[in-house]
Amino acid sequence: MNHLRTTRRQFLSASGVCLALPWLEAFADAAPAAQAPKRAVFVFVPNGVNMWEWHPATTGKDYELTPPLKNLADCRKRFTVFSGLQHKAIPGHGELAVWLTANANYTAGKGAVTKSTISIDQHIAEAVGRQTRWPSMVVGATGGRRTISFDRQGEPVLADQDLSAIFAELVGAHGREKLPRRASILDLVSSQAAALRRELGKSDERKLEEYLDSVRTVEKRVQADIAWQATARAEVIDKDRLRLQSDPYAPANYAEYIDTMFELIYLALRTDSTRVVSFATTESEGGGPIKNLPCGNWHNAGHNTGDAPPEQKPKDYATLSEYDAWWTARLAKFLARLQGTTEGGHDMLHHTAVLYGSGMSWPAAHRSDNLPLLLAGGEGLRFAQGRHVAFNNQAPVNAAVGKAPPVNKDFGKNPACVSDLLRTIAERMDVPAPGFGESRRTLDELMA
Amino acid sequence: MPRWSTLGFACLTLLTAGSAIAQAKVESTYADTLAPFLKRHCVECHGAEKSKGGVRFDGPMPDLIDVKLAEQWLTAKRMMAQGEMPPEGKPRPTADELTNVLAWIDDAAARAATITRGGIGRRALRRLTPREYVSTAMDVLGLSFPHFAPDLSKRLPTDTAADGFSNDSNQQSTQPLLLRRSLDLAEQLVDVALPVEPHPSPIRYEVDLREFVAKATDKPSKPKSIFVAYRIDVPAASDGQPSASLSLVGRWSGPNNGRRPQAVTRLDAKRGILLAPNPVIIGNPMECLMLKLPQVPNQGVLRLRARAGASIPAGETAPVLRLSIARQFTIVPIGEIVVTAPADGPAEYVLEVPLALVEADWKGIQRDGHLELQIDNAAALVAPTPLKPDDKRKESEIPTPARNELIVSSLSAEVVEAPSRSAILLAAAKEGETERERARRFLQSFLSRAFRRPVSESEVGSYLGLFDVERKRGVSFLAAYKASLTAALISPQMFYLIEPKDKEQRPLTAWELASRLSYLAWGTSPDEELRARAADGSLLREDELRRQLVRLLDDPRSYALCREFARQWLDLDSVLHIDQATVLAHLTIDRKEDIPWYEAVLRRDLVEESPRLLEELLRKNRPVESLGSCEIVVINDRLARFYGIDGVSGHQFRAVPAPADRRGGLLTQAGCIAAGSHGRERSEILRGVYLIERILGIDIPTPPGNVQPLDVQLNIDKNLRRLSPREHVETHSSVNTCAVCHQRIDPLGFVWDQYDMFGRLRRDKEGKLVVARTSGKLPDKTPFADIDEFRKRLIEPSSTTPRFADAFNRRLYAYVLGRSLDHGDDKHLSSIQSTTTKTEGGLRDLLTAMVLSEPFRKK
Repeated sequence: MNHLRTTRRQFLSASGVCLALPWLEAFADAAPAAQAPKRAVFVFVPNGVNMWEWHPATTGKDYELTPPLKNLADCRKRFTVFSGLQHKAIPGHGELAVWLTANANYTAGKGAVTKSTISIDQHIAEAVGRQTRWPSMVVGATGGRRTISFDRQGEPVLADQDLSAIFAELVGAHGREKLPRRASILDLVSSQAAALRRELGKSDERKLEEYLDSVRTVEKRVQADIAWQATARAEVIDKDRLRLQSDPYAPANYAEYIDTMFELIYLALRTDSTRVVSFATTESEGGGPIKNLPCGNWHNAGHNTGDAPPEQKPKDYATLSEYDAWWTARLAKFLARLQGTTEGGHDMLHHTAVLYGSGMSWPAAHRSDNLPLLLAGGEGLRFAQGRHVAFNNQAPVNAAVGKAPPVNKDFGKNPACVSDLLRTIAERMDVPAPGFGESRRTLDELMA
Repeated sequence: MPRWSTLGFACLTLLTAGSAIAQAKVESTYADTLAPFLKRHCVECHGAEKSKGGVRFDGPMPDLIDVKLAEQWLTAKRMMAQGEMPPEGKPRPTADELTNVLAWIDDAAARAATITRGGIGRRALRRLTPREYVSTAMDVLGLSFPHFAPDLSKRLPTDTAADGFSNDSNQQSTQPLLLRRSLDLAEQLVDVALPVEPHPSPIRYEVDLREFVAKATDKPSKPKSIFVAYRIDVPAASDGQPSASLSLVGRWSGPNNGRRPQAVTRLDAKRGILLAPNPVIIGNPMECLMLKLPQVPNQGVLRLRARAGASIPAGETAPVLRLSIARQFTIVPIGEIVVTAPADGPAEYVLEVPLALVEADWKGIQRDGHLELQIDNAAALVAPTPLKPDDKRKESEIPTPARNELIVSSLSAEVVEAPSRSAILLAAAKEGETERERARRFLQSFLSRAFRRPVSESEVGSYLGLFDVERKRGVSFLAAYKASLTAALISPQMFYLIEPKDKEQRPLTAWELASRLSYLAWGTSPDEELRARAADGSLLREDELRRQLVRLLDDPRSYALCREFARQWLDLDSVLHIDQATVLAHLTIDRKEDIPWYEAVLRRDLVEESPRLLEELLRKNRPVESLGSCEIVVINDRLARFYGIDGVSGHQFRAVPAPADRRGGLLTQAGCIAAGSHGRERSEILRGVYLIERILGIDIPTPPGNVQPLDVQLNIDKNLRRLSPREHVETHSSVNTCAVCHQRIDPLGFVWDQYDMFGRLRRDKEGKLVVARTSGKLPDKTPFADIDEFRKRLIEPSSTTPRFADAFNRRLYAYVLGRSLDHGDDKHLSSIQSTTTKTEGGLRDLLTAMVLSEPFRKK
């Protein structure tokens, strides 16, 4: 037994050494820019948008910023807005589970717990996650199963909603001295579980396998934490931006909570604790904790519009506009944070592709065509930014027509879908994803 | 489902008998009975020529282990039983024929389900639920903090779906996040139980509040903002320590600009400080005592002793002394204790809080360099009765109604080392004992408690191995020992109820049975006596098993069973989470009934009412039906005030005669009604769904995702808005696509028409009771006029109405077994049901029959 343990430990610490040391500015400054890590951040906003004013009217570089995008005016050269992309599934309020999985067989009404397919962030994390302390960072205000991340088996990757716990894990506040002890503890329980496995039947074994997987994951994390301690740099932490006590259930704290979560994401990227982040801000079914923004109950407002023309439902559309702007304001703050930090001769945004958007377009009919999506940053991944790109011959939404346009059926010669966009992001992260979801091609038109 | 299971019951008993013979019989029955029947009645439309709906019945004998096939056959069975198939106009099978056919399908499906599951009592490895995990860890570490407010189980992520039970092993999954959080928690708990070293400097402050009052000469004025009325220094009990300070904090002008009824805290030179009720809705409480400690202890146990009494006017509730940690605008409640001692005979109340387990902003507090403790009276205020039109008084002249007052005459706060209970964890070394022997001795007993069974030498050896490794790394004896304890707490043997598999199906061992029994009844690990009965094996005898079950159920700890079962079955926790904004938008503070929604303690009472009723009925062994209809309510003082019942004092729940408008058992409890209403004003349909799923036990398919909630439809459609609520719902259930389900759902919800979304009697703006129209229909179209008739229909035996008892038994059995039921359990369930019915048994007999049933006792 003892012999076995030693080898296991040796193996683990060896793999700990194999971990790329955190990539930090200190040595990045000297290194060529190409070595800055490529990162992807996925920010999900529930319940769709005010579609009458989300998408710009014209395409190309000189489009006019629409009201919700005005918050992003300062970095308009750094992001691209997309029109005309869709998911095949129409998941109703289960859009969380489809946004990054593009699971075409998703049926509405079953919530996010339906067996799904892998989500793109986890697909990327499987390949690049080994290089960092955390394979990926999965967070959200509701937390738990309300997540946009799903593993290879289609099981939801539980989202973390606890700001102070995330921060504690980030800085290793659980006590440096505890780490080696934790390593020994996990060592012991994993050998106990392995011994137990022989006594159990098939179905129990599967359950125990979950436990063993968890032990291995936590174990790796402890090893990575130990490696990270040596290089941890406290000065990147800006305490004023962290409001770890923010209660996502208290209306007064909503903005603080989201901003703090963004700041934690920033810190995780900054310290190279992870390179893949998915942030399921909140859920559209019932709204999760963040139900009543200053603008009111957005979920009900979305339904209330009935997707009628704007002049018929001025109040509800005003609520939605406010809602959209509230979220883009949060995003703008996060992007500014990334832009304000330099690494390897560029700002952080240069190497970070941030996909922002919703899994729903028209909120009353819960449509999943012409989704509101934008991709910011990632020029270092060869994305060309600063444009509005309309796919699939998508016509601009025109209020003068007097009703919500029907679902676009004529995709033209070169059709595209959200899966293609997700796949493109993965492949720009050097993670091939052919055939991901409904994907048939990569979106070369987005490349510089 | 109960409708047809009785039909198939006779045949099912064959199932366990020699399986080869049974299998032969199944095959011969298929050839003799089924095949000709199918040919005669089904194959014409579902055969080689036509296969309507893609369904065929002309093949060889189906093997129902195939899930899709099983579903198809069970659907066919249901349709035949309900007379939907064969379709109208086709020749009808005779009743006898049908009975045989349905019984065969039942039998085959049950057999298949048992095979799939891998045995009769089989369940996948069951993990402790977060709550069970925390209780077990606290128990084995010998920790107990009865007045500690935070719910530690909330630290662990829950991963079961909302409509199942958290102990359903089929639904549980273990994920890295869970393990990580459990490890964090285990480390903290072990640290609390065995603190690293003695506290550097003792912290102890005592203050007599009568002196405090004497020093405060002037009456407090009413300034406009947060306001410190009085402040004194409190010298430390030991020399050389800095002083603490005590202040009376008042905030007389709340967000309502003074319109909110005012807390009136009074100073009394003889008795001390009389704290008025102090609702915390948003932000700071209005009036409280603030004790500012000059040091920041972040470990050890904070012990607050308060000499306190209460003055409770008639019809009022006992005050709750609440202790919180305050920093800036964040208030973290850490302890609560109900004060019942009379005003003139105050008693000492002791609150113990393990500081390491409090999730406060410790970093910020460390930076501040001091710790602020806040003591207040956690009860809501009552507003003055609203002005009548002919009343000429000014608002300020109306006297505030008397409410309870919390009288605090002295306070002492100290931070002590961990509780002295740690002797079972680690006592001093015996003479001549090496430290390794000492560690071994205590590990041995700890492991057997944590694993709920005797441990082998080699197991102790491995944990001792961890101790050795740590020791070699140069950490202290205590730290190394604690590492072993922590490892045990997150080991699979602690996490799961482990029941190793045999080739053959087998009865549980005494230890396994003890665990199942203890987690069922108490939600924690077996106690000493149960362990003794497991050790001598007597638990395997039926009489001993019965005796132990009785013992466990007689103990107040069996409330854990009632609590977990009822709260999850009835989705009661959703009441705690009803959005504050919704609550505030719908409440006025003018009515007494509104108060529970302002008081966290009272909302918790609403959640507790159903489990307490179940507990009472279980104790009295009343029949299952009494849950749906009984002549008592089980309430405490706060609920009594909410329901307008006189003569109940004290916070303990007790049974009292039910008032005329609350005679329905669970069905008239405000907690249930509020849970069924989901915080919506127009909730007939949601209530219907709640009743049909949870009370009648009928599964309803989920609606398509793009359906608008009714209140939203109302907002959109002007024409719809002109109709009455009843007409809205009727319009809704007449839409073709929705009708299939909604004709069964919608007419149910009206049964609660006289209650609003908070479970109060519905009133109009003037406060008069609204005339309710409570008539509706059960899913089988049996009409009911009001809630009384509804209850009667649920209880009376009838061929078509789903009985409440059937639905309840099914839910309870799933909870007892810790897994979701499948077709193979039907026969056990029906035999349990028929035994209890025959002997006219009550809830206790029912539970006993479930525990004695094969699936519970076999692996």
